[in-house]
Amino acid sequence: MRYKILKGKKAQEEILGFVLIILLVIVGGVIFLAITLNKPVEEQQSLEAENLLQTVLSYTTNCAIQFEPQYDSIQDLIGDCYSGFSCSNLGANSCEVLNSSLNSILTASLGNVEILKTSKITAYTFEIKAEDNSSISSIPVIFSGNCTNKLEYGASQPIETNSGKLNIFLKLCYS
Amino acid sequence: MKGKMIKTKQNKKATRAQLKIQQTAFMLLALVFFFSLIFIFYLNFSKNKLYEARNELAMQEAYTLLQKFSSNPEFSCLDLSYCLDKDKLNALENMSGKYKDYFSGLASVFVREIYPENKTFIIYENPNIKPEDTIIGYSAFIPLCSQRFKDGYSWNECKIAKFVVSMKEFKQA
Repeated sequence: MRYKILKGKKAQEEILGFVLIILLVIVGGVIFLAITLNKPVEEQQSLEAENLLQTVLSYTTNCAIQFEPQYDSIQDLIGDCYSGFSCSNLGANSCEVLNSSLNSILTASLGNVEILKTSKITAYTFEIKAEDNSSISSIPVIFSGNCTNKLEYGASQPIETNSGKLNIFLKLCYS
Repeated sequence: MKGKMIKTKQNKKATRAQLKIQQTAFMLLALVFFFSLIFIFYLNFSKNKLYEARNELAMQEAYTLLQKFSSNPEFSCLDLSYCLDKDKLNALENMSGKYKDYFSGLASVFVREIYPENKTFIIYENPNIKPEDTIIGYSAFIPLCSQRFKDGYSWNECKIAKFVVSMKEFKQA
């Protein structure tokens, strides 16, 4: 009887030892995975946002504030919209031209809502803020897609206008 | 009789010891098997990472090439630092032979105008690429500008384009 109890105790000790080894291995594995997965993501992907932002700002619109053919680039048009100028050749508000141009460019470059659902870039935000980080009412934020639980990368560009400094932000969400 | 009893006791002890050794051996085998599984998993993980790193490097190479390409006077604009000259691209299109060394190792290089029009300028195509090769493309947005003249004025008209570099993809065998 005593021998049986001793044998049972020994078996229990062995099982405990085995469980301890397994636990140690699991803890080691979890620590290894946590270190591996927690590595910061490189900034490489923001290069795409930076390139796109520079390209968008260089785009020549069909809006000429003073005379044709002195057409505004998107960057100039942002400043002219902020200062309240109109496109003399089109007889239109510069902010309206800016908004429609930006919408068309971003849709052509990154895709519409349907394309964004299946592409690597799932959403984008184009935003222009004043120097004090306040939003500009005449230039609405352009947003398309779904950015929930996605990696977000962005680029920004400060520009100087007649009415003050502005900051332009382009954020891209990656699946 | 007494001798027989001692022998049976000794036999029992030996069997128990053998069982103990067997148990330890199985335990060790199980541990070796377990660690081998972990090692195989880790090896596979590292291999995947290695291929990812290779493709990442290829992507960096493509971006570097883009910078090199856009700052090359043969393709760049006069006034802007980050821009491609559309007129130069038109003139240099399909001159693969001339850029054989410049683009060595790549499958193709082209510039695709995406807004407002759609037009592709093929800069280089590698003749050694086989149809069964898997090609991976890397692209970057770049302004595509051309010089315009009207009523004595000249200005740069810039459009939205993508510079696309494609190369053979390195896949796990």
